Amino acid sequence: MAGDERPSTAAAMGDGASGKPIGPPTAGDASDAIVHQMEGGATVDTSDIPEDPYIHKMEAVVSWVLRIGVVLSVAIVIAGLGLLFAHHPGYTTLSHGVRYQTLTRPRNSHGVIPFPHTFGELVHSLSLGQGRGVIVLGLVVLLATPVLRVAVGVVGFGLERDLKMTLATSFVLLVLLFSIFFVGR
Amino acid sequence: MTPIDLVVLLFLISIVAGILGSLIGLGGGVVVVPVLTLLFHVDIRLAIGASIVSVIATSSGAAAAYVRERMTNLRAGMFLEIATTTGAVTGAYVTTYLPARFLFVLFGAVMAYSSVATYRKRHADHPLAVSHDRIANAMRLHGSYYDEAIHKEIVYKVTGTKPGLAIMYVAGLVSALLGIGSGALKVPAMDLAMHLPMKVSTATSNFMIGVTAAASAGIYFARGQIDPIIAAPVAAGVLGGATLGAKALGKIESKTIRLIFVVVLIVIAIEMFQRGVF
Repeated sequence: MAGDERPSTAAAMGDGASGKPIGPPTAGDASDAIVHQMEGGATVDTSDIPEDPYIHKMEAVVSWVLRIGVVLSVAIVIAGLGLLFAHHPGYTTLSHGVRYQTLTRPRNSHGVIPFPHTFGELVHSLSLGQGRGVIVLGLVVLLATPVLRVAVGVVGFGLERDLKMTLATSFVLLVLLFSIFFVGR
Repeated sequence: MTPIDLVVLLFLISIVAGILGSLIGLGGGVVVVPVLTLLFHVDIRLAIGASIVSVIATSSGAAAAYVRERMTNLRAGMFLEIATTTGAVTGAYVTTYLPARFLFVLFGAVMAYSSVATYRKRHADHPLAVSHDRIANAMRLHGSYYDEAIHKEIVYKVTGTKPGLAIMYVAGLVSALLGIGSGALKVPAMDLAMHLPMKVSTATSNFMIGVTAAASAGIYFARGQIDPIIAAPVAAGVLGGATLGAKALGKIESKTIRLIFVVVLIVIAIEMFQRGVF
């Protein structure tokens, strides 16, 4: 980050346009005075809602990250399904084929989990060109998409010097990575 | 039935789950779990693994559209994730100390209560004009969205961030403990406690549930609960359905969304009581 002396809270940017502070009008407000807008009535006073020029940029980036993750994962998953069925003709016959129940057991007859469930097994399965390995790879891409989306938030708010939101999203990213890689191991 | 029958049927059912989930801000586990356990007699652990996949698929599929249309409150969503992810981590640690049956009954009761509260609020659709909530003001969580159903830009203020954060923490906890139901708590937290408009609440809940589910997905993956032959059609179907549903939300009236939500909450409450009692 460049060290120029802009205010760390980007709130100041929006206030410049409206010329009003966004804080509460009275100090020590213990109770929330709630004013409802009347049905179909006058518009709400918007003067103290800062316009966010960068939040719209971020919306575009976040939306793209989600879309790429979704399209990529669904393409890999479908390719994996195709591969699985191509390798096992017995799976696709409408009668006298393999019963699906043999594939939906938590453990096979040897007490082993019959599909990849660690990264090592995933790599091994992929090296053998197994369809189930390709499907799991697509699912991993799907599961990683929200994590990447949070990371985009950290970078986006950081670039805009929005200190509070950068801290909030960094915290979320750390807790998320901690829970994925350390909890339950 | 052969595996191809399972895949095709699950794909079609998952499209419905994706549409429903994207409209009301839930992950579709309410459809996927009973279908897998009752119809296909799949082990409950694998059903919950598929439910986690369904939640993340609904979230990413729907949020891609909602965020672009500015229906999602990005700042509020990302801020409240502090509480949901913390709750999910806590849940992973306390899961061995709390009896699941008790949790199912408790959660069922909470669902029943929020369905009543949401139903009573079905006509109220006035956004907040003034908020004295210090956290909401400091973090600038207020926002606006364009409502396609009434052709108007709706400006709203956010309040009640403290009760909101508390409910979000419980939502993360429940998600990690039961593998389901995090969206069912997130929507009332935003709609009832924080006064976000109903459509913004479901869109923002959609945005958040993926992150809550991702927090527990690593554990489910390592435990071998994510079976590719089940998860593949669920992921593909839900993603398709969520994309369709996201196109519809803007055009539907808030009152209709609330009523669909109430019906689904009642179904969840019944499912939970059933699993807790029997």
